[in-house]
Amino acid sequence: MSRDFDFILIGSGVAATLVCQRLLEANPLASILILEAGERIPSRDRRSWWDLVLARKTPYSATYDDDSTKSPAQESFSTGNVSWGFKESRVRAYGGSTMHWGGWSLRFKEEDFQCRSRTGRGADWPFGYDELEPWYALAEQILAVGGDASDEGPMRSGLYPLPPYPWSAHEAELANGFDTIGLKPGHMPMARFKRCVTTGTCKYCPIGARYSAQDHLDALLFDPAHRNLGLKTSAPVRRILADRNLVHGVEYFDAASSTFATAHARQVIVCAGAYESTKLLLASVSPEWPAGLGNRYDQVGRYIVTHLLFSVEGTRPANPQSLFQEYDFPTLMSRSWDTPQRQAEGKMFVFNNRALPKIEFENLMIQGKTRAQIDQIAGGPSRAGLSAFIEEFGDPQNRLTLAPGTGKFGLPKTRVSFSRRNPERFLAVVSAAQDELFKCLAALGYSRDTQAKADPRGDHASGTCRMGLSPDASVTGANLAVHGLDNLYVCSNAVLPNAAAVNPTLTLAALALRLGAYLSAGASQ
Amino acid sequence: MSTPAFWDEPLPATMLDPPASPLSNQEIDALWGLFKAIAIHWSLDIEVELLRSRWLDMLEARSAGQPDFRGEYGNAAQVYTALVTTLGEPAAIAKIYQDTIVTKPEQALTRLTHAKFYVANDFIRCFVATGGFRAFVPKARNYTGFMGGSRFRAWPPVRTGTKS
Repeated sequence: MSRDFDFILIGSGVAATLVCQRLLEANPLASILILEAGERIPSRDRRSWWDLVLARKTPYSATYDDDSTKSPAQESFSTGNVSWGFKESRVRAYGGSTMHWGGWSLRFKEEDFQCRSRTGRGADWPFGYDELEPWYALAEQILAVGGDASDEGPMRSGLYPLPPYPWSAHEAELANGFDTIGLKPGHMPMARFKRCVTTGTCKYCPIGARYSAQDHLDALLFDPAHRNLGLKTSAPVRRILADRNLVHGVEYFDAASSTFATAHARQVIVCAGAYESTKLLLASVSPEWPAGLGNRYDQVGRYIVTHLLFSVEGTRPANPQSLFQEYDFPTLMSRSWDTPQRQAEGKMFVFNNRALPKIEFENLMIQGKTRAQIDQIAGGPSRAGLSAFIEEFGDPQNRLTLAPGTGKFGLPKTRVSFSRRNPERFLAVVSAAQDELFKCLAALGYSRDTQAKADPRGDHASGTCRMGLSPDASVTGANLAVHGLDNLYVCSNAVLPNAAAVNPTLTLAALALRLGAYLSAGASQ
Repeated sequence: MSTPAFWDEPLPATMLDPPASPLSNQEIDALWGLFKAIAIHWSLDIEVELLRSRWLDMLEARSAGQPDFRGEYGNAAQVYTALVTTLGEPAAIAKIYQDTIVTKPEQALTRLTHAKFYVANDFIRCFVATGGFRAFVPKARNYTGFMGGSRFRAWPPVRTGTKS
């Protein structure tokens, strides 16, 4: 079956949703087809929420990558001298990874847009922070971000739409320790609507308070004014169809009819996350594009980066106020190490370990502890922790490619090859930072306990279709159009030239709103 | 060979199949007794009636979908009733919450251990999350799973502090 649409959007996460919103604001009758490879997993389902509270189960865990080397169904592979983690890093369902994200919504900083000019590492964006600032402000409005505009951060043209969460008692005490190591404490900007009731079950919010693209896209779909907006789930796109410099549609698997179908459109926007956006370009091979769309210079898939998460924990002998994880999400953070001075070595974003101090009364009761024993534990030794992301830089040797075969949802399997050229130096920077963070805990009476460095994980994977001015060093241009094609765009973390120090979701949201406005202006002409 | 007590009758480790009918009022009353016993056993000074609506919400939610807990709920109601009838309430409560520790599904091999693992343990989790945590730490305001109300009320949803 073929049909003409104005736009086809591939993916249904925050990027597709915000592009779609802008297109519909400009023209409510715009003909838009959204194709999502995954299924609809209902949000705000009571049973699913109770399963999370009682059994720590989430309804979307089956969509996670299977990267186990012991599994015959392994679909994600890691090579290189650094192990790349896929586990639990993305949700492949209607709404995308906003089904499980924590809502942290930070802007990149001014220097992140000039990384290569300033440090000789990474890449420059094809435009500066000032260009994106108004879109950041709009994204914060739409995602309902609460924060403190007086906290450290980039220049802002206005306040946050909502006030920040107050620090918990434990976090306020940690904030006092920040002075010891020159960190200025701030409030984690969070994408939560006014109706948040702080259940701490953000991984599956029972009332849709934490921003979810599914809830947002549902509102757009259910609006009777948008009668030409359609969504297909269980519809993985296998190929984008192009003739020379023009794409004319996509080929996808239609689960409803169990057949391959073709949909035609004037513009195609790939909003399928860093992995799938990249793999789709690579898979869209034709005589004119033998290495995949936009890949004349073998740039598609290169420069993959993410954040390494490192942490420290300490213990002190007593917890007289029996403080524990009342929020179960962090509200204390600092961007004092996210500065131009640290950019060459990798900027860092510091935040509280939201799970500590941990007192799980229910587990103690299930284990048969008496009231006296539980009271003693609640006032006894307690732990605190600090965590941080560190920025890494795109390297052409690191790349995302197609692995043979298909995995879940009919999507091609994934291979990431990630290596560090100077791992000892990088890990020494991380260790030094961990030593600094321990000083903060020590100032509060905690003795050094554990420290950890997690493998890089795909939650913040980016760079594989990076923006740039030159087609021989980038895949997309300043307006996210794929080089060499007039009507194909990528809008996912894949386009980010740098990872910066913070998670990319708000930046992606800003880019999506900007792209939607650009496409609307073009359509109106 | 003497007949085992009702609650010691053997069962397979897998979850019991749900019946065709919904839980009866009698079963719900028995299960509510099992839930209230948590406060009694751990000497928790809390108005348990305030937790009932959330507890009923949990019960209803877990009586549908997969897995359906009604088979286990029915068994737990029978076990608790039998224990109270035979041993008296204090001993029945101690039997379930003190003497019977089951933390893995493969340990649920009798009616009693089924009742503990699949029902009483969840009741404990529900009890704590819906407000029971405050009975341990009266000044605590929030807990994972607790619906504390809008964060734009006059008072904050968690214990707070200020940076000195």
